[in-house]
Amino acid sequence: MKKGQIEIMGLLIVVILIVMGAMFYVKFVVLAKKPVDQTSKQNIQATNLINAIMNIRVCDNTVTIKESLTLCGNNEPVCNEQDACKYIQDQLVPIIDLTLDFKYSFYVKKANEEIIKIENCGDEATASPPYTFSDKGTIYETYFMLCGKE
Amino acid sequence: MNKKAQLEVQETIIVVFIFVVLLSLGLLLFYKFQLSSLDQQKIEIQENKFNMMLLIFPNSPEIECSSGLVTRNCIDTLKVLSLKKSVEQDQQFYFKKFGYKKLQLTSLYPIKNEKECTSTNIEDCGVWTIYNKPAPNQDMSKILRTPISIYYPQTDSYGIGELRLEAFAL
Repeated sequence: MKKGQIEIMGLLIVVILIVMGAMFYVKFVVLAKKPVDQTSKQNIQATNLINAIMNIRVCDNTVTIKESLTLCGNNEPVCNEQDACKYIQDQLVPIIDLTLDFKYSFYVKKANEEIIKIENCGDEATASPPYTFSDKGTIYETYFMLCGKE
Repeated sequence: MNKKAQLEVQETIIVVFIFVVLLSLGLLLFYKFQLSSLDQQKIEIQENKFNMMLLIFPNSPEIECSSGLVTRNCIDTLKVLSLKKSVEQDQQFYFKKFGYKKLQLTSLYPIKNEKECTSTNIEDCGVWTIYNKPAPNQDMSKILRTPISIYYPQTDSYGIGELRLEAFAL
């Protein structure tokens, strides 16, 4: 084979390699399927649920969950002299279990001090956006930790 | 014309012919690739639009709780009944708005029955099928669900419902 022919063969191989590289790039980078953002859907569900829970009335429709949380934060009794924190925790678990289809932990903080804690998640969990409200100047923060399907 | 010149002309014709064939093949491949890429983009946009519905629909003025100009994050069950009636009366308008979808609200807490809610049985029902237009010849559907606060104006009380959005033909 002449020198010119060998050079053309070399050029051809380089071109083929570049084309193959470009095809792999297109296949695995450009056309790669983006993972479905499951977390953002769970966040929407968690935020909507917290919002819905706060409006629910308990104790024969006399007090809302939000009001009970502030009673818990102030160490005041609720519904026939029951401990507000324990009462609200007992009320919340069946309601949340009925409405969420993934595992969760649930926290309520009063000025960074945990007053309600329902823990079902391990270390690998993502926090939902917090729902905050205030009572007489004290900030309450509630949020879920989400940890996958049940 | 001498033989050498004839050969050169033939060679040029063959080279141009091969070039044109290769160019056409390249353009065809490019066109096919662009077409499938556009289809993919269309599906992605439709999916994103549907996912956004989970945020937008509960806050639409037709069903959102409000008093005066103040809105609250909940769904008013009486407004839902009104919307159901509007959908029945003007199906074309709502088909343009929602397309092939099913929008349903179910009461989760307090637990109620599975009867469809109408203006005659407001107290004794637990399901509001707001809009239902299944696509013909379409078995596959995508479903989004979220818990939502529901408001019963007749008793001035709140419950928890599940808003279920089902899209056919995405």
